[in-house]
Amino acid sequence: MSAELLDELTEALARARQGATTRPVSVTLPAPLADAFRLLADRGLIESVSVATTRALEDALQAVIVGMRLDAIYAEHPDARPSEDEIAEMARRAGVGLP
Amino acid sequence: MSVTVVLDGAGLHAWAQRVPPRELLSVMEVLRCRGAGRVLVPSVVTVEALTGDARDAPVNQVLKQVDLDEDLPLDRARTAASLRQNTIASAVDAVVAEAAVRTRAAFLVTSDPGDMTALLDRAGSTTHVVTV
Repeated sequence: MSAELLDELTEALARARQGATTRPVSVTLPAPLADAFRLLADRGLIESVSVATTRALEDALQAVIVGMRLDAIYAEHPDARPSEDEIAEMARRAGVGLP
Repeated sequence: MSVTVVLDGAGLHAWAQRVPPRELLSVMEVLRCRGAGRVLVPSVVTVEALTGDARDAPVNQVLKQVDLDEDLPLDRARTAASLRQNTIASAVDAVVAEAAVRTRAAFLVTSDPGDMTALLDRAGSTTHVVTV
């Protein structure tokens, strides 16, 4: 992936976190998931479905940006790439399950 | 599950290096593998991490790619203060630890594991401290 794309995604994430203007978009979700989040919003357990969705999309974009930076590092320094065992060990220490 | 990684000043510097430390690369690989996460930096750490001159360029670049937490309302400051009581940890460290506790961060990346672990232990946090 290009440096230009990374810059564009980084800028988009930064602007989103700084409270950029919003616009309605149409997304297709599994109906039970949509119902569950509407229920959570109605009961005040989340601020709104829009806020929860925004947060999830921000977190997904952050993971992509981190991954692009990692790939850029490994492209120049292949020896820097940690092994699968090292990554699994780090996840285990933090109690994070890996897919 | 989203993975939150909190960086202190040294953690921020480490992530800004051309080749970050291997342990930190493993942390970021965990975030990538989960497919969702947040790299959180309380803005107060920039007081220690920045110099105000051209040497800041790599850190400034990384700051664009992280979640810079610029809010420190009084309730968070009170929590940080209580964590810090009777320790030798700095105020900045206490703010970083409070952020890790509040966000249930999986990782806190620091060059000062002793102080950070002490602060996190006071809050009963399970955040894993990674030393750089």
